[in-house]
Amino acid sequence: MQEKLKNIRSSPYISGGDTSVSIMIKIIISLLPIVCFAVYKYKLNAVFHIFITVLACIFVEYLFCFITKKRNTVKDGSAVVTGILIALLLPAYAPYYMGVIGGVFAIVVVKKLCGGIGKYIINPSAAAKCFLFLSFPTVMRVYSNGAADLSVKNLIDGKNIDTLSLIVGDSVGSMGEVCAAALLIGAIILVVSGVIDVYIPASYTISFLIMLIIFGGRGFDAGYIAAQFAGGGFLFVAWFIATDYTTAPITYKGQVIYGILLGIFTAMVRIWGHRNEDIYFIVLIVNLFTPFIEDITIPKPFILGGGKNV
Amino acid sequence: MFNDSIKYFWEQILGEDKFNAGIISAAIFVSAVQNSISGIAVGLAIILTYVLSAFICSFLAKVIPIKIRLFVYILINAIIATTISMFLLNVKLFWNYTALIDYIPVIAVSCAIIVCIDCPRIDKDYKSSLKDAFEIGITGALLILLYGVFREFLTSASILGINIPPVRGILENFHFFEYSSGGFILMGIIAGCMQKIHIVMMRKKFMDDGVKETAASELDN
Repeated sequence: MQEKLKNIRSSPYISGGDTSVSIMIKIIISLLPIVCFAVYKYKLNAVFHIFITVLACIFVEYLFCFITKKRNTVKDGSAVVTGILIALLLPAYAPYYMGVIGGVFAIVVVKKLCGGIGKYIINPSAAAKCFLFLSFPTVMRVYSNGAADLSVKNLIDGKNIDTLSLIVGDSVGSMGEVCAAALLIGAIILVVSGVIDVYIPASYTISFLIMLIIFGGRGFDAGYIAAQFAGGGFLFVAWFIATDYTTAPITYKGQVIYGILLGIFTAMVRIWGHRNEDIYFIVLIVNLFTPFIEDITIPKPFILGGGKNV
Repeated sequence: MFNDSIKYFWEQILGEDKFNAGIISAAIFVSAVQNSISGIAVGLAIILTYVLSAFICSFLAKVIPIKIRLFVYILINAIIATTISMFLLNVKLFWNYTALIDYIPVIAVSCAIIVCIDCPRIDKDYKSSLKDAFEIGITGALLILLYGVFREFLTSASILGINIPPVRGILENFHFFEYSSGGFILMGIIAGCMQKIHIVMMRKKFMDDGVKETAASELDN
């Protein structure tokens, strides 16, 4: 009789098997095509960047938890993912301490000081990229050894770009942005393994497309639109950065609104902006809208005035 | 004479129980463009603005009905602040940069609002309102100077205009604190450090005087 009483608990009795670590492992698997392409293209630079950044993120998170005498949160696995994302956003020829400084800023200032893993307001990887871009403007713009221009800058200037080179990986940009094919493979892995829902990337893509058609100045030019999608970090942001659980709205309706806002602002900076990296600032700005979107779209309990439309 | 100035000092930097917009936002815009020495001129302008507005508004307190009193205060303070800023800050002696002309409305309006919210004795006679405004102005100018010293050290490695070459080499490539984004983060860091200092001071005061005496003295102020 006493042995039966030991197993009494309340619902739920069945779990899906998702832990924080398992989700992070799926994200790392989906980032593997991009990492492999970066290593193939940039050889040892990419390896060192990723290695140093991930180690720095883990070490800084452990050090922060040790100094503030709190529970060790390195076991979540989120420091690894943040480290890989920051490393993929660096230019390949940047000095190696960029990853360390970006990792420290992302983990300590953006993640830990804003509440920890479920409670930060802006995306740490995008914030680290923006911080590094603002603080070290000369070294963070060295995307190639030669004098080749960034793809998006060419589009803004009015030249035409070969989209095939963007897809295959012949273009110029930070390590994660150059190959659209690898990014698409990673996106497929993300969706198939069930980590993200397609509402954010789909609404982002559709609103970006509509804004480009209306305001782009070139109508339905297929080459221009394809180049805008394949280059400049659009795919990276749409599938890996904007879909972060903490900074995106919870409900499907909210995610659609979030994607629409992202698409509108991204189209504005792509058409009338100057820089390739404006998209990461846009991600930060729209992340700040998320509390308002959740306030509007999360259904309220009956006692607070909800349930009238049921 | 300066009874409440310490209280106003901590209130301005920590913003206890109220929305703190005023001296702090002015400090961020002011120190981005210039050395901290020329920030003293802005500090003087702010003190003068506060004192004059408090003086004029204390006379109008009896005449104007309660409901529109705040709006009239804001209007008068905005007029005084804008005219003083335009007059004083155009003097070529103090002013080296012309990019700040765009930010004068920000400083003027923020000063205008903060006098109305901060100055608790503006409705009494003119002497106590003058004293309050002077104390708020002095502490605000001191805070701007302190913040400007930190920011100047982090951007161009010089304190009050004196260069320090070894630090210059480290900070040469780090431009984060030159822009407004770094300015806001630096203000957050400074506010955090001041909060810690304040907590340590209060704890020491509690242990020395006892809980009841400290609470009574805080309430009296």
